[in-house]
Amino acid sequence: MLRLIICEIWKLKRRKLFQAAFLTTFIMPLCYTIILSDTNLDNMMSVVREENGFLILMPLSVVLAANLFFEEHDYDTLKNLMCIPVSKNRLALAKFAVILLFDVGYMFAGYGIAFLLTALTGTSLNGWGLQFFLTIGTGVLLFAAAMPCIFLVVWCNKSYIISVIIAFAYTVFNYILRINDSFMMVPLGFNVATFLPVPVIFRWIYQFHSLEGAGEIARNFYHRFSPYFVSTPAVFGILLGEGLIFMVLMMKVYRKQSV
Amino acid sequence: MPEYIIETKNLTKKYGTQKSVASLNIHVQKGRIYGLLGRNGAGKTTTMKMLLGLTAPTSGEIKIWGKSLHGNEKKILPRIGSLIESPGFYPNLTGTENLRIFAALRGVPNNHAIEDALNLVGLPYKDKKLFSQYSLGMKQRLAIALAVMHDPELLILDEPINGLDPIGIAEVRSFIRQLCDERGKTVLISSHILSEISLLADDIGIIDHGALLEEESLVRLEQKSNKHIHFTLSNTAQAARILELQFQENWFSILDDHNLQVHNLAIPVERMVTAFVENGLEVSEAHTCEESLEDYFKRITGGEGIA
Repeated sequence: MLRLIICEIWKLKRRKLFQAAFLTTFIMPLCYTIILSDTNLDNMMSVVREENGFLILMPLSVVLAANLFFEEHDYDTLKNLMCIPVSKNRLALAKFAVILLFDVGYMFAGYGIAFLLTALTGTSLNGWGLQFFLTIGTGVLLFAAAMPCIFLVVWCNKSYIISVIIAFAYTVFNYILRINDSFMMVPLGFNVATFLPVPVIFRWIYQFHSLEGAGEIARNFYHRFSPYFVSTPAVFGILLGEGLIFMVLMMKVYRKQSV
Repeated sequence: MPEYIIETKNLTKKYGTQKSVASLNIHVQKGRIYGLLGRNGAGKTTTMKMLLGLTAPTSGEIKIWGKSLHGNEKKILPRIGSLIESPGFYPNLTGTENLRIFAALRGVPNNHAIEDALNLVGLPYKDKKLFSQYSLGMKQRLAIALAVMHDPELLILDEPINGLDPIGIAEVRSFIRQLCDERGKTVLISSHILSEISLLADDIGIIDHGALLEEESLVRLEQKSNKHIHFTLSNTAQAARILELQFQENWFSILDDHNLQVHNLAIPVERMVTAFVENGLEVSEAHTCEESLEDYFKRITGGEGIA
């Protein structure tokens, strides 16, 4: 399996899209440092998790997945792999692993950049361990959150343009849900809000926001929102469970696609 | 009884109601080159895909090395090298990088196997040129390198000379012959080019509209197709009896009520004509025919021949 994952990574060599994708990790933290004066580690990491993560990483993950899942058909290499033989299930698992590595790597790079920029501004780096866990954790959760959209892309089995449209529609949809009380301020349970990936991630990370130096409005929102916070085991349980279901569905769809 | 490396029993593949391959029974012997000959769309590629487990048969059985392919793919497929349809590689990688991926997945000891395979097909090792910049011939060579890289016992090659120039074709031909003669490999090769198959194959299977029309050694096919004496006479059934009784000859073909072919050219024509006439038959025509392999294939494929 490890060999298969390494080969999947080798296949990305000279793919400009992925090199460019990693460069986008700089965008949000850099803009934040330049535009705003109240740079601190907590705020910087929030930018990495929320703006970099929800707005940039989510569509990038889907586009990467579309590339990975379509390349064997596009380049007619699936037959070569099947004759080795490599099972389609294992191939799909290796592709999932690459997406996970990309997501975690992207968030790790974002963490590194935010950490560096914060250090350069001379601000305290207290709580870097928690921030590291939250940022990497968000990478893992965003991987799971992207699965329903990736499933849609693999199931449609259409062109890259369709995949990009689906990816951006899914990102915008999730971002809108994130600021909608009807989905954010709902108790955990068997309801739609519990199973919407991005709102649940937001309900998890928001509880770790520092209220130090926060204004009245922010404090009020935090207290109004706090009954709906989601615990770490719950968020990982829900998201990884959902991700797993969609991965199994995707493997079924991928298995049925002809050579 | 010969040892069959590949044996299919009533192998059938249907797409909807259309049969792409119909009750195919092929027998590939160890250490020989088997040429699957047929027009475009005859069912060659589908057959090969089924032999490699790339597509499931609708019915029938595939045995490779005496074992059913179904359920034994993990044991059988690593011993096979294949080239199916067009060469498929990652365009953003060089030839060597492409082979390295497949070598890693196959567990092939890396550098030497890749270098040897590339040398064998005349491609440079560690060249900077990307696959997307390769010519059609280079792509085909790389696909052949991939097929032989892991030193398989059996090669399944679907139209391997496609896109190659005449020198390349000759090189691939001699290299396949060499693999068979010197290293004991078994080769199943498909083509729609009769001359190519006749230059290379030991055994030939002729496939048309998904059905195997003939399976013979090349030698036997040449005997069948080459020379014969053609008679046009009043009653072929009576002529057949005369041949059997007076000449102890049974290697002849009755084409219809008035046309008959005798394949044994050792019997003088005039003796046969005299015998027929003495027995009351009217002989209107008797001549020696030299039918080429191509004419033969045209005839057995219903006049369409090989594209």
